[in-house]
Amino acid sequence: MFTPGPILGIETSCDETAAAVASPDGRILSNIIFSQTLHAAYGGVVPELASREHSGRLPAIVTEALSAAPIGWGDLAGIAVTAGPGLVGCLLVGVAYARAAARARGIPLIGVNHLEGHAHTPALTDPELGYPQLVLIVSGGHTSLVMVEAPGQFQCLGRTRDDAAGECFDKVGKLLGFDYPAGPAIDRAGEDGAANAVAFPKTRFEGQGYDFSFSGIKTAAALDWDKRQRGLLPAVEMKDWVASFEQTIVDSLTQNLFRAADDQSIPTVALAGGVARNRRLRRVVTAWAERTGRHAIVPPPEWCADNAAMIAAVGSYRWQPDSGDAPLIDAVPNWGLGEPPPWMVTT
Amino acid sequence: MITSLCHSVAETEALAVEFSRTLQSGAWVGLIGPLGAGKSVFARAVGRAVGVRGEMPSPTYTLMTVHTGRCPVYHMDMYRISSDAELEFAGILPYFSGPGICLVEWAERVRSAWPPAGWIVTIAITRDSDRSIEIARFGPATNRQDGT
Repeated sequence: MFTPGPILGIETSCDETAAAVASPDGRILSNIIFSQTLHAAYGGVVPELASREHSGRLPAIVTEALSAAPIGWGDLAGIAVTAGPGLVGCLLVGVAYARAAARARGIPLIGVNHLEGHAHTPALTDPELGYPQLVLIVSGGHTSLVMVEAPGQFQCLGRTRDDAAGECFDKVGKLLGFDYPAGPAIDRAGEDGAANAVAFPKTRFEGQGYDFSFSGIKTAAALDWDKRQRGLLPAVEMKDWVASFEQTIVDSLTQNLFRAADDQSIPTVALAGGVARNRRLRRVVTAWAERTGRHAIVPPPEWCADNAAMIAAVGSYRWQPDSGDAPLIDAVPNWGLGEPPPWMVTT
Repeated sequence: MITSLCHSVAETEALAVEFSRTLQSGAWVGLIGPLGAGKSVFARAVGRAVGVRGEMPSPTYTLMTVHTGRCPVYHMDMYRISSDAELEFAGILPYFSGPGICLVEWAERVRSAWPPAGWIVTIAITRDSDRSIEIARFGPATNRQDGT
């Protein structure tokens, strides 16, 4: 997998504006995320609206990614951009920019699936480990269990039927008074808590599938919290309540991951997505792998959140020389992992 | 305005199915209620009843998911929206007045962006699995959801 030059990756599918550069063999040379650079200047608070104003920020972020690599526009062999899934308005900013830049430089443009980026992150973290890998992608918007057979080859084994795991963390966290998104605050609040203090119900589906559900846990937690506030249930220390809630989510996620790894005899399990930063989840997966003699890949926290490094890396293995009649890529808000993008479908 | 008491998810779904018979393309339905009240349960049951197949995952993160039933069905969530300007920026506003059925959770967050006419479904948790569900119409009677 070698490209004739570095690949620029661009990610604007949701709240982060990000750009990164991958080397011709898919290593990451630079990785710039807007929210990281400006959080300090804003005292850690970026208004929600401002956080989505990709168009004003993207050119500067790209320039920063290029100079950090350090390379110039003329060195690039291609541009990879997140084309979906995501918010259409946000996706369009990245896609329009990438299309214009690729046209201006006369280099190939690669439309990348955001979830493929997450699914490839474990391989990026630990390039020595082979395939297949079972990757649990967990974030505010996604909860999917994906078998990665080779770079770019997936089988989706399970997904959430209602809420994403991160959404459940965020919404219950907000009830507890934490700022949205509440995942990191929950992680800290439950750190030393007793995870068996409160028994929350877990949803399991009939049959052998690996689908997830978190809306039942969310509702049970909201009702339980309300009752304890009103004295209808005995008071529980905040850290114990949070630890129990967190553990319920982690168990729901990992029981499918571990069962699938057993059923399919897959030696490597991995985490990806923003919720993969949750330390309880990381601990449970790492401990299970040690106990069962499997490999676990838990990427560094900065590679779990949305970023463009994963997009650039996918771009470098999906790169193809410009044929001159390449189909025009476009934003695809509902693009499912493993589905061919609309511009590849011939009717 | 009609208020119903439902004692289970199944009863909430049955009420939603009944309600969906009044909906035509162009209808706008706001859903209001606390976390865990069953707004998504109600919205999914309406979606199924008007012909949506396949999963209807939560639209919280994406703000809107587009489904196809007997007409387009837009399942929306205003939980992350904090102002009308954001709604406009997210490109959602045109759908509020276009064809298709809009199912809008946390609708109270965008009160000033409501269309001239529509339905408001307000769900209150009365006890563990008991819900009080109020269905009210707003706006002039000659409105979009009558198809007139």
